[in-house]
Amino acid sequence: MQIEIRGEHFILLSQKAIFWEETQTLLIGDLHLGKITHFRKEGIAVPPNAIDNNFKRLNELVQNTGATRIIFLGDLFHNQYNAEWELFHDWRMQHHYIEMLIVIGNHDILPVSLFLEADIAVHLNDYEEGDFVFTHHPKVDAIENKFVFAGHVHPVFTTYGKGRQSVRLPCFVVDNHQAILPSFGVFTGGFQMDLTKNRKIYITTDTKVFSVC
Amino acid sequence: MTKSRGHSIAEQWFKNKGWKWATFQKEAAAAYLDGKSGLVNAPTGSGKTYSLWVPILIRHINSLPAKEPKANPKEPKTKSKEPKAKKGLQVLWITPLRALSKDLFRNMELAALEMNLTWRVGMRTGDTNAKDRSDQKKQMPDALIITPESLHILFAQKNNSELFKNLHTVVVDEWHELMGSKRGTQTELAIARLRNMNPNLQTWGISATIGNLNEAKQVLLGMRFPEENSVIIKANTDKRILVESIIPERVETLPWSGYMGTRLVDQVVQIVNQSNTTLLFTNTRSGTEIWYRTIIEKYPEFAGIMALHHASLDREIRDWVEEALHDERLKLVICTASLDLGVDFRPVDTVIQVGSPKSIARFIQRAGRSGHRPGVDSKIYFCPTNALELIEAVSLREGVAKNILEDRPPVAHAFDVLAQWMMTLAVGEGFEEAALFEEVRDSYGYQYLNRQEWEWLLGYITTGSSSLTVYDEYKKVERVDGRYVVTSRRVALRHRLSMGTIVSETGIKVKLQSGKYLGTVEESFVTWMKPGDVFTFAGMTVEFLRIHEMTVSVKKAQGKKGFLVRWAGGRMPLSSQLSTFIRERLADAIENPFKEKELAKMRPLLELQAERSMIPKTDELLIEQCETREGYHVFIFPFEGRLVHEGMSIILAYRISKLTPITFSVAMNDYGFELLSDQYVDFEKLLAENDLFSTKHLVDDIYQSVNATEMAKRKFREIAAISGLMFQGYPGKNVKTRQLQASSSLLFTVMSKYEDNNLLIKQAYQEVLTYQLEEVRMRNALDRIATQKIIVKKTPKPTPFSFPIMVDRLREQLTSEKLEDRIQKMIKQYSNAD
Repeated sequence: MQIEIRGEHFILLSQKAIFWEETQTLLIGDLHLGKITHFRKEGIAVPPNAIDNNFKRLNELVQNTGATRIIFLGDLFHNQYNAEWELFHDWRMQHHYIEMLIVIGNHDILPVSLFLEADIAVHLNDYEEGDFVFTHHPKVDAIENKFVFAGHVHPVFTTYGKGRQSVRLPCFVVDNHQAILPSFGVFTGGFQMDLTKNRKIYITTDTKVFSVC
Repeated sequence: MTKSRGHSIAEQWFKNKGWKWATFQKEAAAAYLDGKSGLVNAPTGSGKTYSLWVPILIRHINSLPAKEPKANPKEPKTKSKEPKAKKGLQVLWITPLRALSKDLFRNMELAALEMNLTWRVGMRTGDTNAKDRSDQKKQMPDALIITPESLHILFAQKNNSELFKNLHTVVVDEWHELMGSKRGTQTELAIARLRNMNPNLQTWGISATIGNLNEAKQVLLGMRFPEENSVIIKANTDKRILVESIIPERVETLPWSGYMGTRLVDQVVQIVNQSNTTLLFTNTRSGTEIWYRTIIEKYPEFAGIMALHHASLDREIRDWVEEALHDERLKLVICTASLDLGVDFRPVDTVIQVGSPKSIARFIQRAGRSGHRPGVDSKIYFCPTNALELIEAVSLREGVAKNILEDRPPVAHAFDVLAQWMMTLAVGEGFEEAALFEEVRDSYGYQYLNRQEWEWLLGYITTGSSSLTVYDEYKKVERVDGRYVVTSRRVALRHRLSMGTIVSETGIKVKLQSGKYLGTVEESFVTWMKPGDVFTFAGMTVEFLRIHEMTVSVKKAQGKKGFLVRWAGGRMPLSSQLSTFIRERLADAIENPFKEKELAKMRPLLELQAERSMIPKTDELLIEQCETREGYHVFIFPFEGRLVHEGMSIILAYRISKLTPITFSVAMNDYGFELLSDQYVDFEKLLAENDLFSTKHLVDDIYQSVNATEMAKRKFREIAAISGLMFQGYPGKNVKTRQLQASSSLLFTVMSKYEDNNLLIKQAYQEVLTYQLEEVRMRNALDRIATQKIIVKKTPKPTPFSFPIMVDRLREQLTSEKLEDRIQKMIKQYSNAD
């Protein structure tokens, strides 16, 4: 599903990412790599096979869009270093031709040097480009003349239908000054969003994105 | 037979007390002293504790060297020399409730003292303070009163086999109550271990009457116990139970649905006023709060002589209520199952049950909370909360008269409890797996455990996956010299903190500004509260001030009416015994409306039902169809109880959904169930062309339909917590663990998607199949339906039968439509609405 913001074109993808056409850039929020291993290290037996799913979907995305750049909107890696970082590092090296940058999120406590070593440009706070600001925490107040892309909240939305039906799905939340991306990681939860004035919600299944009014 | 020394002392003791050594107590003593194990079947208030405690003391006395205790029996405080060799722990007395332990302790210690014995009795529960715990570590008392959880914690200690070295007797109190829960399974495992340490261990249970007493005995004693060494001893109680229903003047007074029953408050208060002390049981914690508020508003004179008692109230408040009950300071206590068990409150002479007790056994047990004095009858009133429950009133009376008792099925194959137990042992002394496998299989709940399952569990605690080849940093249990042990102190600590099988939502403490704790509410309730909001809690109206570190501060608010606190809680299904009675009584209601006064009262309601639809005879199955703003409703009324309806509804929904892409949301109660859809279904045509109620492929269809719903996912919450997948956090350090929190539904999704044959996921499905969709019961119901004439009625409006189901918001969804198609339809409705 394509939407237009400040004259530029953004495709909301069912893989839970946004593709910015003009700059051939993928926006990806809240990957939480390392979380599964983090849990496992603490004796919580999350199946390790699930780790591969993140990379599978990343590969799909890169191939389908032909992106030349990826902006990670924070929470790329969940807490302390563990072996999953090496998997990511390998993946990064296989895609060395893609420019990557990250705005640091609250879970990104790895030393900056690790990101740099993986050839990922690091922005501790916001990253600005033209009319757009890329950040982790959504902004409470609008920034004048700017449009914000953020992650962090893992938004989900529940639609209701006749016959007391309901479906809860990850969503993109877009208002006049900001877009919040769904979380990308396979092992992440969700936070319920409501419809409000001037807010558009786009829910996504594994294959299709829908606009809710 | 010459009397032993202990026997004479016991006889003298009974005489001094002015009590009669009851026949069943004597029988139990004889069996115990004969070395047997078994069950004592006796109600509360019958002296069941002494039936086993006295013979235990007799055994002790007889084991003493000849001179000591008889020397001067009238002088308890003689400084007799301590026996030379301290034997340490000899008797474990397992009780399900901490609240019971204090009273038990008093009685048991007193009896020992009065027999001039220097036997030490101790207590070990979650309330036991650190000093007592460390004293016990140094020197165990001779007899220890303990909860199943605390017993497991002892097994997590390093030197525990030393502790249990001289243990010769285990008694489990209120075994009927424990047995049907995972705490029962916990108890089974611990006893299997103790029996392994001492093959001559004597194990006794004390149980109220249930349908499957023999099974209860076997669950307690394990698979290998020689039958000839065990007995069941029954107390001969001929206590009469009087059942009376509270009947409204007019049936219109009662709503068609609902479960609070406060409209009958005047009649209830009248009964309370005629009685000495009354216990009023409601089925939910919110129910107690509503009743309290309703009574205090209408009858302010009850202030000070009425109290609340439920599981979310602070321990201190509950203790106070219990004390006050003993001391006859209270006229009325409004309570939940929290007062089902426990010590006898002698002043209580009346019990009122609000709403369906769902089982006859529970009703009888509650009735037994009144009239403890010898020769006094137990009296229980049934207060219906909606009109249809009037039928239940008749059925309950009949069930009590015929002394129908339901079974308490024990829990089987609880892999979560077993995984926790293996961890506990690994934290303690470690275990050798082949030996433990055999030991575990000795317990009833795991008799069919196989090697594959066992190896999966070993994998789960060591490598965190079913494959034993792992490359990552998973760390929990290690193999050291052939033993499974936990070496990490952090893992051990975390396990100790998360042991147990009672899983509750994160409790938020509620505290008055003055510092007094009132109890706990659930996180979900607090999240939508703002400062200034008023709610009713612990019988008080309080104003929300702020929330800080898992504690809500409140102050008393005068004269305002506020929100009601709600707690999540399962709904109890009607037992099949009780539903059989209800089906028969319903037929009666049509054929002989004046046979029972309750049914006569219901007449206007039944007439309305007959007018809008019909009242099915026993050989008819009624199906109603109607359309409302919500969509197209189909109501089916098998009158088989919630449990059967739950299964039948999703099977029917599944079978129809196979014929055409459709989505149903289903709801049910004890009388029938509803299939609601956004599409019209021509039910008559459907029935003519398909055998929807067939028993063919039943098992397959049950599996498929469970798969299609979220039932297993919901069951997984408890399993995840018990098996150690959800760490609740260190006490007082809530923030630290946030990184480790994942919801059970996320864990369920990831585990079922990325790991084949995960036993815990399998258990979730199994629990649904066992507890919710039991095949045998469903087959019987379907067979019965096969003999019935099906009548489809199209009604312009909901009927008295269908309305209560229609308004139920607890629903299960089942669909065969593509997700994308459904969303398309829903979104269309959004834009239409705008």
